[in-house]
Amino acid sequence: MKTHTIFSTIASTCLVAMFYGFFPLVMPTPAQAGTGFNLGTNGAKKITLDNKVNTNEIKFLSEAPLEIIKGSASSVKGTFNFDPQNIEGTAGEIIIQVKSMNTGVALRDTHMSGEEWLDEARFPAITFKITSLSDVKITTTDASAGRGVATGVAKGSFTLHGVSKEMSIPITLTYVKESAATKQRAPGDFVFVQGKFNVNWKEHGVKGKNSAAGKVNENISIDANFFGANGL
Amino acid sequence: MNIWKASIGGLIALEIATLGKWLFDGRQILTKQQMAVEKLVRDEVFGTTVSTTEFVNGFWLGLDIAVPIVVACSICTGFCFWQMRRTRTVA
Repeated sequence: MKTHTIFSTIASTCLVAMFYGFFPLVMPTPAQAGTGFNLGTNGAKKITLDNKVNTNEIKFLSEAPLEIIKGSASSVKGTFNFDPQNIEGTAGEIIIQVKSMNTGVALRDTHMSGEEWLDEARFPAITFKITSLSDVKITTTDASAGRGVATGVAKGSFTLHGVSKEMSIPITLTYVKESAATKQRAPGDFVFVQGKFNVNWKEHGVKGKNSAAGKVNENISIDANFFGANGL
Repeated sequence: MNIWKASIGGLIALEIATLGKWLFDGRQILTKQQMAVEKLVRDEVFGTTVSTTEFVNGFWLGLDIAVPIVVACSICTGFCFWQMRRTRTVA
């Protein structure tokens, strides 16, 4: 067989292989890049939650036949690594102090922090350890404002009353590049994370009081707003 | 007007007012001194509306106070009614 015939056979085999998508199986593939905002940013950033950016808050709601309880937790702290070019790689921890939870009734707040409920003395914090983000979709990219919005599902471990459960929380993430407007609040790029989910307190080993039947729903609706920046 | 009759009228009015206030305040179990109010603020940096919770001071009647008031008023009404009838019988 002549040399040019061998080369042409190899070349045509390669073309057929590429056509059917076999080529990536034999060729080394570059590391899979995550979903990112096309805003000309590079590298992972350590985002620290801070009220200078806007008010960090967890709102909770219990709708039971006899009582509706609305409240909020104001002490929300945490850090997470965020790469605007690889949103899936977001990871970190958010910590909420139980003593900062307020329902508007002092006696009820005392009961809520007590041994039968959240037992603040033994478990002073509620935490969510984010391990990754999945199903990330870019919904808005505004290059002129240096802003991008994405939706996704934050996966991680949610710990309440010392009991951890794996959770997947749908979130909306807004990223804003540092600008004159952001500098007025805090240095660095801004990130805003919104999430809504339900927590079943019985699944976390909270006993509650029998007298609370009909007054406290087993499933508490949580609405979270987290604001942070990487220059803090 | 008979004093007992006037008292009964006043007590029934107080009971109705208490129940009305309890219904108007949201039929809650516990009396609230603070109410969570959601405030929506447009944040131009993030290009979105952000909701924050504010606690407004006030008085929102709950069953913990409303029930003793209504029960006490009912007992007093019964007593006044008994006194009214007794006075009428004596007269």
